[in-house]
Amino acid sequence: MPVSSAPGEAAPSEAAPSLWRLMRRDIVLHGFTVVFVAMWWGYAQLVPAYLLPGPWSVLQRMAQFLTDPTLTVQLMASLGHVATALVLSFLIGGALAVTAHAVPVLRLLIDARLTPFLNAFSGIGWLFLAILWFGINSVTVVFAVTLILTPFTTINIRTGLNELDRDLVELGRSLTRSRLPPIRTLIVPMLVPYGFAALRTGFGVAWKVVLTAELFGGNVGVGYLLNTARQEFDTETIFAVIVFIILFVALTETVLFRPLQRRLDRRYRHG
Amino acid sequence: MVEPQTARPGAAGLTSHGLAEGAILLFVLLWWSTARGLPAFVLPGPWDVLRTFGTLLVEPSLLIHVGVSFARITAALVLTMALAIGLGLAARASELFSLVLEARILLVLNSFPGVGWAILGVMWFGVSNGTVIFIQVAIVLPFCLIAVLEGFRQIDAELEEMGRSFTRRRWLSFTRVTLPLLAPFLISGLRVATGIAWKIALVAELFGAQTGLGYLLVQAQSNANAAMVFAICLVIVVIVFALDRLLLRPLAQAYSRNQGGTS
Repeated sequence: MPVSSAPGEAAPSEAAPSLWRLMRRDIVLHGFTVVFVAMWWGYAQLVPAYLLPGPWSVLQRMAQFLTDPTLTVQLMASLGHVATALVLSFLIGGALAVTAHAVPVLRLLIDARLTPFLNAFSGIGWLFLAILWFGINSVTVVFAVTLILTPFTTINIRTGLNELDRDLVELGRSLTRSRLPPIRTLIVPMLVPYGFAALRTGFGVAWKVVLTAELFGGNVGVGYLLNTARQEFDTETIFAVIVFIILFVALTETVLFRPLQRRLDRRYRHG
Repeated sequence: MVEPQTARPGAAGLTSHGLAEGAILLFVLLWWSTARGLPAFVLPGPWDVLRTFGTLLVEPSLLIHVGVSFARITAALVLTMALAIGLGLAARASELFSLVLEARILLVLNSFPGVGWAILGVMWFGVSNGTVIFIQVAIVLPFCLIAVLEGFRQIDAELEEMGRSFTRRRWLSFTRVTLPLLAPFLISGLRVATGIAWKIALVAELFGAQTGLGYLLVQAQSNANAAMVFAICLVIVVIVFALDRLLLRPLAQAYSRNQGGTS
């Protein structure tokens, strides 16, 4: 294997650099993680535990959570909030986008009035309104998250509909006798990438806001758990919950969404 | 983003304008008639909300909260942009750091719950302006970072090379060539960040701050002052709208024109 001189590294021997090059990505990434945890541990020795618990005690708390059903139940509740809000916002956003696409006279109302208004409305504002109207419960949480997500889904689906290739639809129509454009074989596949983009953004945003909503307006869910831990100065639980959330969101992104995106890109890329 | 299409003059444009404005009017009328049958702490009428909105902008003791939130968010946005550019430059200089930045730092920042930052910030630094700004920076940073990194990826390396060949002074070639090439991405990042900051990062003010719109919201909610909650929402909508239309969109247009290669 020819050793091309990679910039910025001195090669001590023949074999070492190629191994280094092969494993460099993993070495650097895992090395960074190890250094970070070591720094966390070191700093945790210096400050009191209620400010910054060490990585070990956080890990222990996380293990406790895994055996104890509390966190699983709360996590499922949060997941339920996120899923319900996503479905609702897809229904509302989809209805708005399709209406704007199909009925030109309503386009101005939806594109230039309603969507920008929803888009400019504060998430915290929806949350506090919902608390006033529905009290402290899951309806409040789902209502607030749905309304925060709706402009995102509307805009994504609307963009997809705008990008629908007219020529391709025309061609599809000319290949069949049916008057309607072939929805299942043509329109839906063309919309899939935009729907997926809407789902991906929506999922990310939903997780960012659902905890806030649960903390102030919910009586179940991970956000509620965070709130009780905060009131009891239970820093270990706060850290454990945050680490769980990061792991959960990062894993869905890297294990589920990114590979799916790659497959979609391969399958639906055109032009 | 769907830009509103300019309505064509003529009957069709007139109808859709009529429908758009009419629907808003109808909505306000509906609101008014529903609110009449309900107590004010559940649904205040449009007139009540408008009056509270007015006092919020006129009464100095209330206006100060709007000003404080505005100042904090502006400071947080400036800091975030500087931080994002700094990190982006470091990632460009070192391939290894870019790996760490994208596969570790950005991934974690992007998955970090905003409330988590708020709780930790208040626990670590107590309640202060600095804490609020820290929380806001932490929430907005991933959005800016994604835009800046994308910008650096898209920059034409040959144009930069050309810039370097004109001068030895790095600073000059950075400010005259790299920064203008990066500008459209910076502005689109700033646009997203401004929206997120006003809509979501205000949560930073809900945890014990004694000033700001978030504090007013908590107060209004505990006094069951629904008109105030509505008015604060309206203030935020107006600010986000005004910033986007009067500042960020013109900036974006100016810079995208600058980029248009055909001239």
